[in-house]
Amino acid sequence: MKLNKRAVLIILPALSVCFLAMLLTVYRYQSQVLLDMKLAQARLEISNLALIVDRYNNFGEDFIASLLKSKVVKFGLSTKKGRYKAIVVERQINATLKQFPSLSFSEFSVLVLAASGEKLLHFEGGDNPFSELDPEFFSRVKEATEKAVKDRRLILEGGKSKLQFVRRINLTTCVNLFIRMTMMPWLSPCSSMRLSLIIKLSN
Amino acid sequence: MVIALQFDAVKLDNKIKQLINVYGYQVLESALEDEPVVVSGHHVQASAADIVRFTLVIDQSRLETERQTLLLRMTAVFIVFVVFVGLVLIGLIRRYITAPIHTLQGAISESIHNEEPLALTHQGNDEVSILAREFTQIYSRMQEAYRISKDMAEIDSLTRLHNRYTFSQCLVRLLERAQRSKTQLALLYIDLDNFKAVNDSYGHQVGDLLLQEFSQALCSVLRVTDLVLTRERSVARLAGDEFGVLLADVARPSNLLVVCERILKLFEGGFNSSRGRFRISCSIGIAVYPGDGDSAEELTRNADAAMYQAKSHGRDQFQFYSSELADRTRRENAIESALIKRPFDEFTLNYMPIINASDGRVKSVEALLRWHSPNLGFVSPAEFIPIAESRGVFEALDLWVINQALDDTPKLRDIFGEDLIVAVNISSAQLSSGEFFLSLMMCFQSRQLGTRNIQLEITETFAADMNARVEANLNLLKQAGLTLALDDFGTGYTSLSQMVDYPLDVIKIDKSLVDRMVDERRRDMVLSLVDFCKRQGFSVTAEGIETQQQAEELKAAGVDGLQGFYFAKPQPLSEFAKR
Repeated sequence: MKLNKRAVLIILPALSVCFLAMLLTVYRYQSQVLLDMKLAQARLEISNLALIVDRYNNFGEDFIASLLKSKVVKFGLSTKKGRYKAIVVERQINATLKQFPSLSFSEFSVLVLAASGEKLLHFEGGDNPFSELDPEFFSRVKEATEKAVKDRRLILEGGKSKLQFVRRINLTTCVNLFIRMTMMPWLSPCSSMRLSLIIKLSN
Repeated sequence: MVIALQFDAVKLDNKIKQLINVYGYQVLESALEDEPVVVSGHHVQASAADIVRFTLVIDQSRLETERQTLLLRMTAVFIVFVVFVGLVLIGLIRRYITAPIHTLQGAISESIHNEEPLALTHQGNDEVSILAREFTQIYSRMQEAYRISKDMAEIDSLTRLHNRYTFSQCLVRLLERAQRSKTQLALLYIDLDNFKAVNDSYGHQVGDLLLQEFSQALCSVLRVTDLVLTRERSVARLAGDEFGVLLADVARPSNLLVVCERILKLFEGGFNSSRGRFRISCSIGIAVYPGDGDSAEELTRNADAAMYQAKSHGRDQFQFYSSELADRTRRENAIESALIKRPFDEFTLNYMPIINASDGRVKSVEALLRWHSPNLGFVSPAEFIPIAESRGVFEALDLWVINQALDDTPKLRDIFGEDLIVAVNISSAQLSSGEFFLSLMMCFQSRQLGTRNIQLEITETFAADMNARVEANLNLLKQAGLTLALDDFGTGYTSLSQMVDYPLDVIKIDKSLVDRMVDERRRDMVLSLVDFCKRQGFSVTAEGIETQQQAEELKAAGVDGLQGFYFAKPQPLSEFAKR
């Protein structure tokens, strides 16, 4: 056998075995790296999800607070003329929504009930011009009010996620709200007026 | 009062769709107050705003697909890498390891096949260069040793000519070439005459010098155009003083004559050497392919035979091989083989009567050896006696003749009388043997025969080699009571004074002298010779008498015995017994 052939017969198998072992080692490592990367990505994505939920949650809190302080809403709610009241409140709610351009809603519902359970206001808006009143909304609010269910929750319905906020307005909640607004003045420039509104509403 | 707010989280849904569709996650949402979702496989969980708990489950099949893709890519890279690294490694090994070794091996093989000196120019300090240098040294030594061995095997150390072996090899090749080209090739077989005498007289040192100078002279007289190959290859020393010359493309025999005459001319007036002029000559035998043989052995043998023929014709001459010579050589070889083969069943003795001149009665018979061979036919003594003497068979042959003659003696005496003398010829060379006398005496003793009336006939040639042992043997034979006769007197070189001093009883005058008696002057010379021998006290017998006149004249001259066809022809014992 020629020397060249002998060299080829010795080198190629040795080289192949070495590289095969190296390949398996690298593959196992890379496979673990791939899994770690996937998990890291999943953590990042789940953080984003939580962030989005937090934003929606903050929006809900702030929106309710802004409703409470709004004189226009108060005025609209106090008028007896139903159509006019609806126009006034709806305009005000839409104006408020425009203050949160980073969030979009296809459906947006606001329901105000009196202490007796009478429906004072039911607003239906959002980006979807064909949205309809959610027939479950009223019953869920009633249920939450009666059973003292948690005042906010996530509803999964038809593949869609919905956030629901229910807030009972009484003296305790008004004080708490006042304190929160006083302590956080950036929420509104006229805290004294807000306090009077809250007191009246609570009555 | 109750304020309720409900809105859909479009961004959240979009994000979840993106995670499902784009990233392949399975997204599970559950309220915080619910039991945690039990999920198998790789997953992460997180809660948001105390409302919801998200669980992202990594799709195992997607993960496996990605792993397989990874494995495929790595395998592809691995194969490419292995092939690339393998090729690079093989290339590097070839360039720096195997290529130098191949180069070295090629150079060595080429040098060995072409029988050239090894010329490796490796100057580096790597192993191959060191190996090349070491091998060059070893090869040089081996080549030198080989050259010396080859010289010793092919070259004659004394004359620096090629030896017989190389000459034979060369002859074989040239014969093949001559067969192909249909040309003639001549072999000259040269033998120095009297070289032994030079060795004996002047010593081997001078003999060796003579051989050296003759070989140089031989090469000088042979022209380059005469020679087949180089001068050294076409001329060889075949044996002690024998040389061979090969001449190719011989168009005419006259060309060979010119070459032979040039060689013989070296010996005109003796061979002129640095140590003086030596009286030597040379005999040349010539055999030509294809007429005189078509094999190296046959051509050499025939040239050798022609050389011996030249010697027998008087030396200092050349002789072409001929078919007659070949026949003679073959016959001589057959005779030699038969002589060497014993016992001598094919030999017989004939007896030729010798007449007493005074009373006409048979006084003696001469035993004559006859050979009738089934293969060779009749072989005359003139043919086989010289061969027997030259091949050293004569001792056994002489003893066989003596024994046979002694066995026949009683019967011969019964036929011719008790006083009959039986004459037996012996080789003159027997007289130089120390054992001959004892062997002869044992022959007589074994048969309880006396030596009286037995005559030994010796030719004149013994006188040439006369020495103390010959003289002692002659005296012993004489003292033993045997009669000694000088046979064929007149053909040799025995002087009369020598003849007188030898212890001889009978002189037998050769037939050649008797034949000359037709001339009156020669007749007087023969008769005077007879008279001289008689006066010296020798008994004289004349051989070859064929006429009555010869018989009468010789009888008148006082010859004692008459022998010849005129009286009786040689006949076997059985013929005499019939009478």
